[in-house]
Amino acid sequence: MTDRNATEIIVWDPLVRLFHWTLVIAFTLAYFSQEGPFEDLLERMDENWVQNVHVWAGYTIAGLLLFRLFWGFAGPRHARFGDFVRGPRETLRYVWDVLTLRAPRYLGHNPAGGAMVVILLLSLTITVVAGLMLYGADKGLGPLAGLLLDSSEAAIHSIEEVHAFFANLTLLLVVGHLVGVIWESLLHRENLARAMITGRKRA
Amino acid sequence: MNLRQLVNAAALALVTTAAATTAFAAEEPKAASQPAAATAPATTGITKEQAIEMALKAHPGEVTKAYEDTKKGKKTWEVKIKGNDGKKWEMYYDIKTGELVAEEVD
Repeated sequence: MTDRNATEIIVWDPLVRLFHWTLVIAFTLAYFSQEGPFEDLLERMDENWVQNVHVWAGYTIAGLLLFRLFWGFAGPRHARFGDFVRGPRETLRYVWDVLTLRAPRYLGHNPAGGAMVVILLLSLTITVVAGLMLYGADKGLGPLAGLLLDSSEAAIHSIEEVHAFFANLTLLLVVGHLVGVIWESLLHRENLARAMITGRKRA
Repeated sequence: MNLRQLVNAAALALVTTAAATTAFAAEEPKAASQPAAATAPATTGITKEQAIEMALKAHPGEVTKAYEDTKKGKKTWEVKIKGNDGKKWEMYYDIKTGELVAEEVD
């Protein structure tokens, strides 16, 4: 055991891990307070309370996204976009290597994981912005209320569609992310989920 | 990363998140043409029961839910109806004036 500890190093800094798990909780709350298998249960709960959970989960995600953008430039090595954002060709090549079980191991995000991080952040950003717009246009609440209160019904409907589409896309991406994590964990015989908790990986 | 760097980074992250959330946290309803909310009691307001009655008159059916909600910056009674026409209606009545603020169908 001491041997193993000696060869493990910190890869994910504490803020990246805090960001990751807070985002997991906030997205879960935001998604399932509006959609999914709990709709019958939600129907029986206090609407304003449910709405507040949804809105504050959304604000939390907005704050987290701003932090991650900043941390992607100012954070330690493996938190930086420069460490894991690769071009499409390299990314697709890596995906092919993953599928054919030849993919090399990366200490930080591999090119496919890095692409997933970027796509997830973008999808979440669109979801949050559309959510804020909807909150302002439909309810007349939030920071965009003054700007969007006079929106037409058609415009509100379109914003609603965008918000729902990207929320669902994000959920789909999360599933893809989980498949990737499990696949890579098996391929390289390491527990990547555990690494996102402890921050440590085999050197 | 040493302890000092970590504390600095944590403080920075906290400030960023707090700034973002407070900037977004303007929760006051912004109704375009409303005078500053007077403290006078809503003498001309309508009750939830009156809102339900109005909603049922517009769309006969079964009321599934009725509660206070904000719509277009106004405090409203939202009445949900499973209509006899087979459609799901959502009616919003201004609590202060009784005026129909919005009518939505699923």
